[in-house]
Amino acid sequence: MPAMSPTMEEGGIVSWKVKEGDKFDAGDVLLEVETDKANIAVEAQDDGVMAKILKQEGEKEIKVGTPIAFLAEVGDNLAELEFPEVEEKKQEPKKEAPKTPEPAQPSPPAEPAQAKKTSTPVSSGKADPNQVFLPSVELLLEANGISRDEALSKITATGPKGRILRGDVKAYLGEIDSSNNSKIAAYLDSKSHLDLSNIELRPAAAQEKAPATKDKPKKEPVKITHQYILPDNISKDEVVKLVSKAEQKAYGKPLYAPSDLIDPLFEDIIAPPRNAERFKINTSFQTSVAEPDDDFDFEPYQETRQPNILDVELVCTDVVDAKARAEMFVDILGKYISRAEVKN
Amino acid sequence: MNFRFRVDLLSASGYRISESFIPIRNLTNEEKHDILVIGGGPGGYVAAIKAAQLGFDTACVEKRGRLGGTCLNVGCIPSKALLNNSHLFHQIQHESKSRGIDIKGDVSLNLPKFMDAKDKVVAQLTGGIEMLFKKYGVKYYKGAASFLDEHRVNVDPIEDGENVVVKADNIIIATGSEATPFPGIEIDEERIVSSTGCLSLSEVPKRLVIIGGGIIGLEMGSVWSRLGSQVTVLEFQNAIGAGMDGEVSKATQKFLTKQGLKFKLGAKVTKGVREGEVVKIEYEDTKSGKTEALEADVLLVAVGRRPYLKGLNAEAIGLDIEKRGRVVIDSQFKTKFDHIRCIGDVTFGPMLAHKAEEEGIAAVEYIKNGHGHVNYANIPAVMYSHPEVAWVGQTEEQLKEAGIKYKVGKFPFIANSRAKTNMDTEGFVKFIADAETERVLGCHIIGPNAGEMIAEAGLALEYGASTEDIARVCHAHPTLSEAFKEAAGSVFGKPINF
Repeated sequence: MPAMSPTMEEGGIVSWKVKEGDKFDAGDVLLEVETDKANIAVEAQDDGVMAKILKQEGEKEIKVGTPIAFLAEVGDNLAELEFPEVEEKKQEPKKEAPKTPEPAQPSPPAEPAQAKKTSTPVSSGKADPNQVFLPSVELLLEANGISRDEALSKITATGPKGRILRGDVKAYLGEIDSSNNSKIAAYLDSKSHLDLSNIELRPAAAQEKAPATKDKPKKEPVKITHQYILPDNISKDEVVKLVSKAEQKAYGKPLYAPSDLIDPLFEDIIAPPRNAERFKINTSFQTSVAEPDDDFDFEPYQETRQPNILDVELVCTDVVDAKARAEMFVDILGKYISRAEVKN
Repeated sequence: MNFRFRVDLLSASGYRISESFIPIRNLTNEEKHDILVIGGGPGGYVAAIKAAQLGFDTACVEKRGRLGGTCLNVGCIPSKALLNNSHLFHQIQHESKSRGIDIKGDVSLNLPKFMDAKDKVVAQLTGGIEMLFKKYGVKYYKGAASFLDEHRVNVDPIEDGENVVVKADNIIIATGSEATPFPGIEIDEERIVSSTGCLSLSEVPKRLVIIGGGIIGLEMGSVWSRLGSQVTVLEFQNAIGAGMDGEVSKATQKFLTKQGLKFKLGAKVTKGVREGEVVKIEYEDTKSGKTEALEADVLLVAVGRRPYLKGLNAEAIGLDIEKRGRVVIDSQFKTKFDHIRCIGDVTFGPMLAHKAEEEGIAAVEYIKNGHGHVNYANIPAVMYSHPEVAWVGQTEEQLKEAGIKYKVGKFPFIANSRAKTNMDTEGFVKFIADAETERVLGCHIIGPNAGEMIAEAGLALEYGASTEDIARVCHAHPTLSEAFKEAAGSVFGKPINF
């Protein structure tokens, strides 16, 4: 039964202008409703088909919000429609036109919008008007003389789906700080999702390796090569020392920065032994000479000059973290060399 | 709804088919579905049934030969069969007298029959899922799935049959996990076993050593200890129970120790080698730095599980995979492709069957209506030792870290009338609630039937209930759940019966 005025509480059906199975267009008169003040024609808001009439002509004192008929969409096969069970609700008359619970698409415009709002995980603070109060809430309201209507309209609900919690009533009564409620709600909400932040992708190499190990156990060892430009003021011996220092560091340093997704203890358990060989280091020094600017500048001092290029080739073993550690070595050695340059 | 694109171009053309063309017919054996679920474990089979119920033409691929995944075949279900029956055996052996039951003759274990009982349950349950697939019209492909491209999956049959290419609008990856191997220790499933082998030992080992004091290790330890093994648990961390509330973890260790399990915490295993019929184990005590040696008849490696993607050919479509091998997803379970979603152990979150089930339903609902619901703050965990250990929500440690003030209420089962009458009084119910609002933040139970009781705490969490709300709900007398109510009531008030 549609509310034809804000004060209307019940009405009667004077006559139906369409029969079951009749099609109608938006604006067509569907029925005439009798209120305590006048008889009013009810127009269709959309095109449709009259699917089923629930309240017949002449019925009176039908509460606003009581379904009186089902409308279907144009093209719906009426024979196949399933009608939802209609409950005669006495409390809380619904405001929206009751004649539109279309089985195919329950979309009276007012209701879903509201429903959506209250179904967000973190409550917007608006209380769900249809909730059954928790026992603690009911008791607190009663003890403090707060009516259901007052509670629903005035109390900020921090519970799931617009539920008023005990803490919300306490905050409304001024007994506790309301920020506590929202803090708890926000904390629980943060825990209610998977933590998908800071995901580190597996290096592409490892992904390729996985099938390779399965298909053919024989595989080429991974080789990493890197060329370092050596500063002038660093001797070959110093470089060799740095290489072995970097090697030690690369074996000992944790591979991952700790995060929620990485448990260092677990990593340590599953890590291969620290002293297992991850890579072999082959180094070779070169001395490259700048292209002589002119022919006169050519002097045979190459042999005595410091080498200025270091080529490193790392041959990885099949220890799982070999490549990662080898890459780490490359970085560390790079840092050592540039640090040595500054120092000297 | 079942679209079959059995394109048979050659015979349809009406020309004589030259023999060299015939193999092409196999290639064109292509089936089309709305949703294809890869993996028939708790996540996958639930997703498939839900999808079929929502009107999708659904198929599920499984290569194990039996549905139900790790959970039903080599996980939750067989372990619970062993736990329940070993508990019964233990009770008959040790408690009959005190309960006034005289037994004439010996109580002895018939291990082959004991295992049969377990296998029978597993067969019934996995067969049950196949029936459900038939009932709801889920097409079941028994084979190994591998991606051909983003929309097509090749199914290599495990039994005789043809290769099928399945094309689907939506694909859900639910390939699960496998036991994480321990580097340097080779599992032969005979003397050195994973959880799978430990469920089917052919004799009761005199000495069972377990690497890993998590739920799997402790449950298996319970089973074999009750059947007569001397069990030693080596745990790297300084607490057992992987993520349990600290107090609960300590109490759990205490009652398991009382039952005869030995614990070495802070133990880093450095060696585990089979020599004949004995396994030699070495571990380093991380506190003292000393290396200790142990011998065992069986060594169980239970250091956790890792995502399983073998054979899926995920590289072919360039699926993003993170460092620990998990498939990268967004909050709607979507991989980098909108139509390929991923749920359960193979992606993020706790590796639990019921978490995968929730995700399976939610993923299908996302496909159907664009929204789904999994509350990760409310996923219970249960260990089926005796007494059971169950928890849901936050631990004291987590709340301390988050700087949230809380209060604790506890009630021991020794003061519960039903526990008393059952002569089964070990444990307690512990509630953690917000200090100001009493909102329930976590619940931790050690006790008989804790796994069943924890569901009520889940309901309370989901509705944002306070401990007072629970305390004001009528609980039947005499039941164990009265302890639950009393614990809730004692967060802010005083318990009646203690």
